[in-house]
Amino acid sequence: MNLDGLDPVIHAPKRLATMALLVSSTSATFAFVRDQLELGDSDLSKQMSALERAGYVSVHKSGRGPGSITTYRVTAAGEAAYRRHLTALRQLIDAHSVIS
Amino acid sequence: MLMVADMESDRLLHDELVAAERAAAAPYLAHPPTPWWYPPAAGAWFAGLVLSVGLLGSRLVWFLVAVGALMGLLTVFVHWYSRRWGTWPSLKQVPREIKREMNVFTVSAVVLAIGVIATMVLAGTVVAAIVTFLLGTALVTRYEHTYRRAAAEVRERLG
Repeated sequence: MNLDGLDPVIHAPKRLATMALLVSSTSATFAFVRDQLELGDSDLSKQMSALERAGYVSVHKSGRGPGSITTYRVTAAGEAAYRRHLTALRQLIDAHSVIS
Repeated sequence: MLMVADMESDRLLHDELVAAERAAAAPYLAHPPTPWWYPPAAGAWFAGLVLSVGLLGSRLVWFLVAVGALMGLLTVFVHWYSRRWGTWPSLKQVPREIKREMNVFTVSAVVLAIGVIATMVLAGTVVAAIVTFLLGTALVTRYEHTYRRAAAEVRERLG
């Protein structure tokens, strides 16, 4: 059972869901991520800041003022970390199933 | 007590995985309905490609202009639609129900392309373009329908 793959940044359920969504997208707007994951604006901003600090997502802002659009893209490092985390998570679930 | 705690943590891990799978499916499920003109526009685009190859293939500059214009139209559409949608799928983590329909579409498109080439050789470019427009429109219309059905199956599976 390999716990090394579990990522401390992605482990938080909201960030795991965010990464899952972004890996399935070429890019996604703030509004799309917020609406699909049913998060509040400030909650999502907090999660995205953590992922950006970890180097897992890149942020692009276009326009200014109320009409501006923030778009997120998963980085190569982010996708690799996400896939490792998912593998470790599945192994953990499988190991628990064997024990019980 | 330990067994209950283990079962609880199993359930939490499983729920986390399901939530991630649901989030991964979102870009494939949550898109605005395609406009009514999309299938015939797609059919016309493919027909334009056939006409470019058949009528301009020997005139390189005009051929490149025509294909460039078609690619420009495609780019404009993708840009417009992705702005409306808020995303564009990466073709990674495609839900298996939708992947099935994408594969069927791809195979059908290849079969159609072979048929169009044969039509071009036997009946000429204009006839091939008409066939492309009609069958291309039908293929895209069918794909839209089967995609919606597959998306409903994904929603039902993931809850």
